[in-house]
Amino acid sequence: MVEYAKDRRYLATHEWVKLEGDEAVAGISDYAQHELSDVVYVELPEVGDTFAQGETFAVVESVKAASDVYMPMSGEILAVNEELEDSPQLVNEGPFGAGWFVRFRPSKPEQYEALMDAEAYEKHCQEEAEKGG
Amino acid sequence: MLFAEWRLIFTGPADGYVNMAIDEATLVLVGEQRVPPTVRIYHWDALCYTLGYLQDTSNWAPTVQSGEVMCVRRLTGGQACLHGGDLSYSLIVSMTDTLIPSNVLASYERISAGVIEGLRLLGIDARYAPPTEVQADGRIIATAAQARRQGVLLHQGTISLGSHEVEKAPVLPCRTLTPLSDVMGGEIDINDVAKALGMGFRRALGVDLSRSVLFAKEKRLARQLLRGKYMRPEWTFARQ
Repeated sequence: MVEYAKDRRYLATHEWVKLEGDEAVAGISDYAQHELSDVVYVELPEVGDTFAQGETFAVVESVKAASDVYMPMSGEILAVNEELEDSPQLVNEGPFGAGWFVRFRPSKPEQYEALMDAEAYEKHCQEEAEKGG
Repeated sequence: MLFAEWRLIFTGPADGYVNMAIDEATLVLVGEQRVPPTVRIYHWDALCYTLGYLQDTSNWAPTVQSGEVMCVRRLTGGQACLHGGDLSYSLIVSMTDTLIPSNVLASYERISAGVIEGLRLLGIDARYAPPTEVQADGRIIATAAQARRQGVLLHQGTISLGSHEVEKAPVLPCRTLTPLSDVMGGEIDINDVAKALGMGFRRALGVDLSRSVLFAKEKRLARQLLRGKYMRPEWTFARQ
């Protein structure tokens, strides 16, 4: 059963972002980790790096697919989940929790409202699955 | 620009740096919708290890950096693969294309169907061996790897043809494939396999694959990527 956490927003490319005060946390969705299957490696950015919304900020490798992960909002990286270096399976086990990718400071907080909420994202995933997933 | 047709390109032999640079150039231009979805079939003019995008090679760094054998890092995931006696293909398509499933494993199966169909045209009873391989007579004869970059799927696969060249190479840990010559009991012409593979993709994907060539803008970008990225040790060995 795929989970669509309601306390965050989503990109069509399956990244999530959750606001926590002036900061935000991002990762990939439960749907994405199901699609990718077993994650074997995650390449994360450096603290202090800045990215525009939609830019590649990480690469996740699963069963022989290295996939870009896109920044859900523009911002500066404040912390990365170093646990993923030794335990990439956390992305599969807890995509909305222990499998987070980065904590960042959004430079354009207004971008959040334009992202998909859980309901819209779930509909998007269903359409994608019907396409031939 | 939207493209109703896919492109089938035979680029013949080239070294590992060139082959990887062409694939990225095509990926970039497919992402910008400046070239159609592409199936490229090619081979290798020198022995070359390709390394998985995130593969840690620190255990064998002295060997691969000695210059004894060519090594180049791929955009795609997975483990090292030794090329030389094999025929390779790359399928490059936007991830919004409805022809290829977005699910990783489903996409492997769909694309492998083209390889299997091509091999069957050569009289080989091949089967999909999940998640990423194709087997015949119980032996693995083809493997593949993927990258999903800039909204584009890059699927690189290879079919082992003959083992004679590979046997001369220094041995590094990598996937070993059974050559088609062993399965068929004799050498096989690489051009025959290339044609069958193209036909296999055409049939299995149900797509209009038009014979084409690399575009000038694609060659220009590939040359830039060759010099600025793939020939540079920083690209291939930075992840140690």
